Amino acid sequence: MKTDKNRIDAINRRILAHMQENARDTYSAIASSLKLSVNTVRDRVIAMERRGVIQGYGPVLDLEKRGFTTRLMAFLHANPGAPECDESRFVHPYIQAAYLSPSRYRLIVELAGPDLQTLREFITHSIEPCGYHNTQFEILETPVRQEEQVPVTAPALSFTSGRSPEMSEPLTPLP
Amino acid sequence: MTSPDIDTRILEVLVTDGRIPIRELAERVGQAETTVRDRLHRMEDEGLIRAYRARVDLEKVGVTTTTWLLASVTEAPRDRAVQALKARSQVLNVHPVASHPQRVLIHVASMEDQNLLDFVEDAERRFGLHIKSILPVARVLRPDDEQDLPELP
Repeated sequence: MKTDKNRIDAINRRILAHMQENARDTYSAIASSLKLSVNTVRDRVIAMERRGVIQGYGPVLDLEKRGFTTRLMAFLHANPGAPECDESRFVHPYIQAAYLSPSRYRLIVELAGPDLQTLREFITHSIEPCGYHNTQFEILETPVRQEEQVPVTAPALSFTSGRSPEMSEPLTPLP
Repeated sequence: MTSPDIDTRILEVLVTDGRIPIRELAERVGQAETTVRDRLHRMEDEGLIRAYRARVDLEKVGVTTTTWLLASVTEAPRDRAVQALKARSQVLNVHPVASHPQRVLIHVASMEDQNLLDFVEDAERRFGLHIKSILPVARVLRPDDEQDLPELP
């Protein structure tokens, strides 16, 4: 049976939900919005930071307004025996998210940038030298905000020759 | 220093420390407090900064694993399926793929009583979701600030 170690109570859940949108609010602003005491909010936020439940805070940016109109998800194969890439390498304005996977794509990276060429060069010069090769990617549509959505029609591409650009082969069959 | 550079510096600091007080932020970018406050408010008003978000370690709130699914929506308009998938408590993020009218990438959280197989079976029934690849996440190197917090157990 699973322990309760990784469960959080209703108050912490409400604080975390508030801090999904307004994480820069002062403790007193959060407290009055959630009808809690300032001490409760402060103590609980600090406790969640110490336990690592909260790992940090950041702005959610409108990428298109930042001029990052191209988004892609890159799937990279690891070079045999290459050491794991350091996390600090993934702090860059073009990198939206990065994951290690035990599948045949060792690294999954979501990128956003001004255009496809810039992102391709970024992958070739800044990510692949860290121990990856044969990058494949899918171009993503801009986030679903219907009123301003512009369809992107560029085809999916592969960086390196000799592989199909289509990501059609199943990596792991469903159980 | 031209003005876009100051904005970029402010954003760079915020990405690593989103709750930094204005006074410290101003010190870090080497500008007056009023300059930094004004620029921050402008970026918020213009919608460049949409929100400030706490990055949550999902493992520490009851999520056992997360998985990226490469899939196709075969029996519903993709837009509608994407909206419905995003509303699901287990779904962290959904991206429609630009090059293919049916393809989507879905990031799904598995929890104690909500496993991946149940999610996949339900999505197959409702949208004809056809899974092409399952990519389990072993470690998050950089968290996705756009992802939704799942409904926690």
